[in-house]
Amino acid sequence: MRRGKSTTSLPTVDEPHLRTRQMLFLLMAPSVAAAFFITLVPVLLLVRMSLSSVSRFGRIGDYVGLRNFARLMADPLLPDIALRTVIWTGSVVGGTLLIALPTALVLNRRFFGRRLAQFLVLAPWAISVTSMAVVWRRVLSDEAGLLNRLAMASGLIERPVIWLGSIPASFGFEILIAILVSVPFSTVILLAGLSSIPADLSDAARLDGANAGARLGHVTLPLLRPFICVVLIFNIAYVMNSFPIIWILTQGGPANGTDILVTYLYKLAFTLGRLDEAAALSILMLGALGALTVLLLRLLERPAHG
Amino acid sequence: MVKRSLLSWCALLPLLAFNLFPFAVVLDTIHRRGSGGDVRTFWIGMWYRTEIGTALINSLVIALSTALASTLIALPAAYVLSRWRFRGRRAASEALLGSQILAPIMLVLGLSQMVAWAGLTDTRLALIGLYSAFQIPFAIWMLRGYIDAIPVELEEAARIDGASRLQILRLIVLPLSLPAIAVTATFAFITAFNEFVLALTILRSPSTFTLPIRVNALTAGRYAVDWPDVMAAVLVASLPVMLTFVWLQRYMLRGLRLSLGST
Repeated sequence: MRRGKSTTSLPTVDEPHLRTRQMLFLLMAPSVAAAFFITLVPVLLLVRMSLSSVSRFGRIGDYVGLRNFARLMADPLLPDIALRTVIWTGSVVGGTLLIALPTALVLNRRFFGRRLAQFLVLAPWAISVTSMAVVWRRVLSDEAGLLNRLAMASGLIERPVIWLGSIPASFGFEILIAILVSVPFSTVILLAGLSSIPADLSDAARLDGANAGARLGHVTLPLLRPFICVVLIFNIAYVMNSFPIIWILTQGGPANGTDILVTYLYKLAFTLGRLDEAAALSILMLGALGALTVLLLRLLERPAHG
Repeated sequence: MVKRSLLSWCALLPLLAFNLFPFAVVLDTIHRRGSGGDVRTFWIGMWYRTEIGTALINSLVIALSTALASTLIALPAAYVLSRWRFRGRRAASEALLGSQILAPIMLVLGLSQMVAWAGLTDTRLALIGLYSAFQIPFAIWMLRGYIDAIPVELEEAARIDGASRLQILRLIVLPLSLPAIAVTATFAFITAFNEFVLALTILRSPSTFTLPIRVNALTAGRYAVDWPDVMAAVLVASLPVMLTFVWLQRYMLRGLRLSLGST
């Protein structure tokens, strides 16, 4: 913008000027290009692979229509795995919210040692999910390990248990770990939300005779809703990223008993070499996840009351 | 206050116990190592046996490059989204948040094909490129929150003084957003440092392994796992991020708060 002209159009940064347009383009181009590069290109590749026959080395062959999708649907393992994915996502996202919300409410008040408490709550954030999973694998496979010693000392079990031996125990622990891993970030987001709620609102409700439960239900939670939506969005992404937990603890085994869609997808592609079916599965999952995201963003947009 | 403090700590206790448990297991396992000799011999031996040094360097190189690249690319875009009013701006903001849900695992098959075509399989460069690209939406989202908090009057004053857009960007916006840049880069560093799926898919040879892949390789598919070594490796793999976290936690939280506030 030139001198002289700018005095008349001071606060407007939005002049539909050619120069501005070019500048806009120049500044945005690298980011937009990068985004396209890692989303559009692989998605198009996946679409093409899902509609072709692909050798196990990745050579893309003839167009086969929807054959890969049909094969996938005929896969006897898939219904159980899909159901387990729903259970996994529901438990992890729900469990995370159930733990993170009270934790954030506690941390939002003043008490002695609050900073230390906050640090300890957020500590797992500093450890990679991979490391966390490896440590827990040790815990659950070690007969003389800390968990067994603690459980025996407290009289919960009589003999050491190899926890990874049973499917329900493995899957339960995997859910627990996924929740523990997601809690820190969710707590942080909710804390940010709580600190944005003015204290006088709660005070006013108190003066009107609202008890603590009513204040939480009618003042805090409604105002917190957009932040809860953000937590949901980030957590669903985290659930997808919790792949290493299952992969390292049980690799989806024994007998696909702890597989969820993401681990099965990885297995199809890189262990079983059924690349075309894996591509089809990717496309289906992307579609489902996209629909879910749009739904959550709608929820985020809707006004808090009404 | 005393009562409330006690109550608060009691309420948090179960979660804290779970959080500290893995640390206890790591130390317990290292402590209970059988033959090992003295501490120094153990650590030196472990360092060679696990090849953790190479992995540490690989991870540092990849994570630092990702932090640098993603932040530099995101910065101008974040500025545009914060200051310009243009059609599709709102949609762009939502797309940023929505894109967080697009986990690499869904695209991993397409991405690995892409990397193979580019002839970059088993290179650190491939990971740097992919990590940077995946980190950009989050980086834009973080930086935008910060830039929103910089008073626009400063830029207007500079414009009156005849500064060009680029000059304003270089002389005013850039210096003022340095803390934001640091925080955003830190997030990118941590994410890249800890990433698993893409590294597992793209890296093949031990000389390119990052820390998570190295730690995984120490346990996966082995009949006898040397657990004290593995736990020591986990400790080494966690240390850089833990130190960063202790050092920058306060700024990272404030950064997130600013970005969330402007969403």
